[in-house]
Amino acid sequence: LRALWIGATGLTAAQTKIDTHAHNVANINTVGFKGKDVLFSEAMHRQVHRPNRPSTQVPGALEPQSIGGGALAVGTRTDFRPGAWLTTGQDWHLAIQGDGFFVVGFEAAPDGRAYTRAGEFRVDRDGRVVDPWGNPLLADNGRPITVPRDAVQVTVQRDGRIFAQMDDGDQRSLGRLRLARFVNPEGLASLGNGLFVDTEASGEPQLANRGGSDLYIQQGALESANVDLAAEMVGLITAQRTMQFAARVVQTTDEMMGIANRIYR
Amino acid sequence: VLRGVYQSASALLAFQTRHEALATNLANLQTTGFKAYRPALGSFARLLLQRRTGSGAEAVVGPLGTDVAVVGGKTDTGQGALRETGQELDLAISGDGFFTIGTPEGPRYTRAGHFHRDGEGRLVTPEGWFVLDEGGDPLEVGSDPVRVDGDGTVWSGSRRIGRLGLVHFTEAEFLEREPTGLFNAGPAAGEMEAAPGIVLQGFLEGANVDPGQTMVDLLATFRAYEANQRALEAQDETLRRAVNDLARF
Repeated sequence: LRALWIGATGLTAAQTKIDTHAHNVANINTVGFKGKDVLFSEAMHRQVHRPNRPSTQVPGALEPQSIGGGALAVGTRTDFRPGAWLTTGQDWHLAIQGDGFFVVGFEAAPDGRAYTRAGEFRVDRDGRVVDPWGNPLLADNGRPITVPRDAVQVTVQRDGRIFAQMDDGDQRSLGRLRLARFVNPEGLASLGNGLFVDTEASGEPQLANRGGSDLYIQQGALESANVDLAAEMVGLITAQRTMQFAARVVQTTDEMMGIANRIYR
Repeated sequence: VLRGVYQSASALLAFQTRHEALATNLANLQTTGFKAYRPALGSFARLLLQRRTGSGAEAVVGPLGTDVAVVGGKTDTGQGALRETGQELDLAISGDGFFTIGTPEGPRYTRAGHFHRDGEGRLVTPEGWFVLDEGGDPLEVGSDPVRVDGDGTVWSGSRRIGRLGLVHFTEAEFLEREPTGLFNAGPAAGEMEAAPGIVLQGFLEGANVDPGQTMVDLLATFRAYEANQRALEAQDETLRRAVNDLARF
């Protein structure tokens, strides 16, 4: 009885959706987090007629049609819409207005770089600007940004230029922040920790033209998660109900197998 | 009696298939653009019962059905619920019509409009197939934000990029269904025509499965299956008595 497997695909699909929503809700306070969504498609199906059956004489009846084989999660996608800004006033808390990404050095990635929207940076003991996991923030020249020891204040301009105010009153340029853009950000592969790497589907990273009104950097702010709690809850509830329906299918199929088994006693 | 046994057996198979179709509808409650299966049960060739009269002539008693089976079925092409997602490349069709998708096997049709760009800025499905324009070519939307009109015209700012290949079929409920959930234009689907529906940007169409009605159908199918098993049992019992008890004095 194939309906058992059809019900099972429904259970798996609903479970995937529940997992995704749970992940989104769990990250509601994660800086720069981008919500995910699962896309479903129909699974493989088959023709319902055995080929050796004669054509029917029922008026209006057509050639046999196929019926489905259940549902299948074809992939997840990331929602790259912006989250709300939290103003923190910290020098190395940066938020991006527009569709760019910070570029950080990440040794495990193929070209040594990863991309993130989470602008929660700090200065490590070597003076490098790093993300919470120690990956260095990269400047236009592809090198980490280093803050001199005797800097008292750092200013990050909207166009990404960084200036340090020194204790002797001098102002020194620390470089310019690199921002990357992608033709298809949804094609980026997620590495966890808010980091993404480019794939064939996302296209090559392009150097973003920053400083205009549609793409700039805001110092002293953090981008919060773009998770809509109400939408997540609705998604969770529908996924749960779908799961119950699928479970019912499994149950009725099981009972039908029992009935078939009772034909001969 | 033996005829009845086979009738009941065919009914068990038919209701089992119907149950599978309903199970698929339920499993796809969350599948974007899913269209419910409507399997049709029908009887097979009928026999004309005749009886011998005393004079040796034959008198017609009436027709007798011999078999029941799923004799095909169609797709419920009714509108699914439209859900606003706000995503730039989520497209839904309100009213009749299908998006045209370019697959390696040729053009296919779908109502599932969760599209995105590929690395080269072309509009693709989650499986990576191209969304075709009205000329049958992949639609290149580029990397800048686009706006989609109700008639499927895609704009980048004030520049017209192209128009989605939107089609409809006179007998859309008889479109062939492909293993991937896409529709294929078979001979039963009728003539291709312009799609009367309008395209909504930032929306997705949900499955058009009514879970309540489907559960009722599932229950009815289940009970019908059960009843046919009982009928089979009763006939088996009759046969047993005919074989074992009739000859006993």
